[in-house]
Amino acid sequence: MKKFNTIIAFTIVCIVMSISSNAQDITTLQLQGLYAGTNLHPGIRLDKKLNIAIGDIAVSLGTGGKPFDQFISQNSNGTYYADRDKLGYLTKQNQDLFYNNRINTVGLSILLKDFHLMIGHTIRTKFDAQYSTDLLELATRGNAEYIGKTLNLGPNINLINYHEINLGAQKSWGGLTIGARANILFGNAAVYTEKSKLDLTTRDEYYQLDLDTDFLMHSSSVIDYNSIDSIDTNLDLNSAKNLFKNNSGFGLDLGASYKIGDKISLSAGITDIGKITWDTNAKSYSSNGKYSYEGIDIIPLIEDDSTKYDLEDTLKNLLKIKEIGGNFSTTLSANYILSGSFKLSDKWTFHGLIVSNGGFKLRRNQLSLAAVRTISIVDLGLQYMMSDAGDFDNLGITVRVNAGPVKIYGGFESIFAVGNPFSSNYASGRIGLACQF
Amino acid sequence: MTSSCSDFDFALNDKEDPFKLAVPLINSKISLVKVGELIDDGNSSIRIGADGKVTAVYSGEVIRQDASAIFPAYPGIFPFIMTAETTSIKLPLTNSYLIKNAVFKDTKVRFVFEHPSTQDIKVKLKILEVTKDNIVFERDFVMPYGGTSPISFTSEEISLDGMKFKSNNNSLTFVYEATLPDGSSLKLNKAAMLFDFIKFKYLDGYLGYHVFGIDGSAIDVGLFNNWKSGSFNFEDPKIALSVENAFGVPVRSRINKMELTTVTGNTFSLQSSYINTGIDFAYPSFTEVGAIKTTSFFFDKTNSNIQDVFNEKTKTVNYDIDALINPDKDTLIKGFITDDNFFVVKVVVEVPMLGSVNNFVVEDTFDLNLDADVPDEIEKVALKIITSNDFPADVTFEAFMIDQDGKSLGPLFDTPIKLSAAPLKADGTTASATVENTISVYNKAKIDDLLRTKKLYFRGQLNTTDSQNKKTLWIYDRYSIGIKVGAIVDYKVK
Repeated sequence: MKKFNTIIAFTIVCIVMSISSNAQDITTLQLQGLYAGTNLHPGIRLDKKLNIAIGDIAVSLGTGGKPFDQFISQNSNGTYYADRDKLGYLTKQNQDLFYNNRINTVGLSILLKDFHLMIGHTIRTKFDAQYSTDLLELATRGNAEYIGKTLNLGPNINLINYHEINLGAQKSWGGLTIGARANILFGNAAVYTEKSKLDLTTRDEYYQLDLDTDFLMHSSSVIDYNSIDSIDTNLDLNSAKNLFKNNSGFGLDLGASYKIGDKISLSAGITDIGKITWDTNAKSYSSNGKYSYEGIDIIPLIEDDSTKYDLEDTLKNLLKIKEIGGNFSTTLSANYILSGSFKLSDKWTFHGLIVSNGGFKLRRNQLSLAAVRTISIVDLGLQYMMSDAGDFDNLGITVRVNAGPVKIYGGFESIFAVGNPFSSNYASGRIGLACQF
Repeated sequence: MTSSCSDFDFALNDKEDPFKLAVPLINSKISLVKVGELIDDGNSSIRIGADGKVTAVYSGEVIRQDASAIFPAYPGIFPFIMTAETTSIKLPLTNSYLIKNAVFKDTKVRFVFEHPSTQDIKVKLKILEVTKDNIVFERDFVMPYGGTSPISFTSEEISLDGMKFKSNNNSLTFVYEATLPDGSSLKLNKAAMLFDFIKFKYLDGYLGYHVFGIDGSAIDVGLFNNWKSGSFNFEDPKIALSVENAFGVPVRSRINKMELTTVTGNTFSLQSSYINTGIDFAYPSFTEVGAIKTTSFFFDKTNSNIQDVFNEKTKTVNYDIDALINPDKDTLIKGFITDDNFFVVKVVVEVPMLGSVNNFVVEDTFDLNLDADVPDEIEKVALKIITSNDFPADVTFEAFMIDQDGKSLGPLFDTPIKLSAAPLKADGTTASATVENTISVYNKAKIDDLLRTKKLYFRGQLNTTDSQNKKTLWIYDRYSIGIKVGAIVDYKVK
């Protein structure tokens, strides 16, 4: 049970440590012209000669499927628990979780001759995890209800947290703008599950346990495995201790936009091409084989009554995990973006965005639409998002205040999730401050 | 979706919602060979024949007599005194001994002379029966005059090791010749041979009549321990008398008592003509010095009433046996012993596992102190007990829990555990094991009872196949009993 708790706790901690937003959401599209707009992709046209972004923070998280309240209940003590009676609603074998954040601490673009040169610093976190319905079933019901069956338990947990030093450029030829941004990466922490097979079979004869594993998990500065009931996790995210030193990598963002007249603009981009090689406190944990536990032979205990036996220890030792060590690499998982904007009038602007957000084992494809009403110095936006995860009820709002050269903006992509987190399978938000001269 | 760590309390299970854990607990198989290893305490064991047939063996005390019992070291309390120049001295043996030949071992002697002379005296001494390399023992001594008269002289120690003694009348003949420097002879006032012990590493002749008692021993036959009721029909129980003899003399047993006591306290005497006549045991001849001759004699159903008596559920066998050396006291029979010779007698009860058992009921009580830390979260345990049985016997057993006050806490199992007999093939051996499943459920109260249990009362019943018709069956070493236990544990988070 401690193992399951550790996994779930690890996952939950990752989720609840902050609100999230997807870096490539339609809110970004509404920031066209600002430095923060290029966070969608570097081909989003910049305005003015000098743009400064201060603390553009975007986070997103979701379940990738059913919202939590589809299988979690709350008891009279206020404790949430996995409700075995609701697990039947989970139609997928694996449940997904994801969390992304992008904290653009500072960004600067300056127009030199025909080029907008961009420089900035960003902290990124990408997390996704798959846990099986079988794992929930085992944790809530125990294995006795699955005698004679095989449960697929292998968790697939992936997390990278890293710093980006962004160096980019953008050039326009008439309505066409092309941008590129190179990102020098310094990793802070990573977990990467390369193989996640962990099948438990309870035989029906007298409940012998069989484990069939092909499991390989890498970690850099996150997991320290001692035994199945002694797993230390360190989630010191966003630390700068490895900045400019270790876990180096390289990333590339590319984009282009095209403006048709004054009313229509189209864009396409691809971001997060690259990888990080993890070399700090890098460890790999592997389990590969078939292991069985068929009970103890009591004859040696009769022969030598000083022999001690501990069932709990025996079961813990059933899963043979060995540390194999060594550096490892993680790819960034590219995002693919298509967008379009239509400025109907000085008061109304409409945006459309199709994004395929990359994850380690989870790719989330989203379609977003937004309508923005300009009232004096304030832009109010109403937006809608749907995804291939089956969520169609994401209604969001944005607010942007244009106080001269200073811009303040923020928004949620799923207002229903506010105050009711377990009934939604997706939420994102963004807030930031920009200056433009 | 927003939440914080402080107000998010998550549990995998609702406390009111226990889950069930299925785990295997025991997977054991015990064969008769392993049983033999477990019970082998030096007195009880199992012997496997070449064909795999099993015999239970119960051994009595091993009685051993060494050569010193026949010819102990002779202590030199009294010196051999030479009263004249030629003196014959009888060895202080009982009349029954007549030592013809012997070889000394660890025997050291000194000679003491005395004479009132004022001159040096030379003494030449011989022992006519003692030789080495066919040369008679002879030594020369000088008694120096040191200004004091009489002259007293004690020689250095002289080892007789390896020297031979040959005599027809158990005598040593000492001859000495004492002379002054001028050659004149004289008779010593005192002449004697001193020694600590006389020992031999070999001797032959007539070695006397001896009786060695092999009495008081009892063999504990555990086969019927805890018997409550039921009958047995062991086909060929035996009492084996085994003798290993290196003495080169005739040995015969004299059985004063051979009694079998049953578990009900009745005592029966073993009846056999051999008890009256005794049993002669083999011994090595003069050409086999150093060899060990083994004799095995069995009291069985062909020469005794052991089958009838044993099947009355023998608990102990008591015996009183004498081993007679030179039983006929015939002094013409010559024998030998060496100092490392021994004589070993073993009495063993052998029970070939061939027979039938009908309605054999055993009862016993075991101490139990489950020092187990059973988590309070465990609500219920359901054991699935799978037994397999290769034996041609139906076995049923049950157990009852008893607390420290002797009060019964109820049965340990919901139903008695049954092991049905394995089916028989035409050759009387069993085919495949018979497998039985039993479920026994332990709720919270019964778990508590088990933890309070201080004794387990055990009752078992056994019937060999077709035992009502006394069908005899062999038990083979490959037969085993298997037990597999799995548990479904209802676990409720507190």
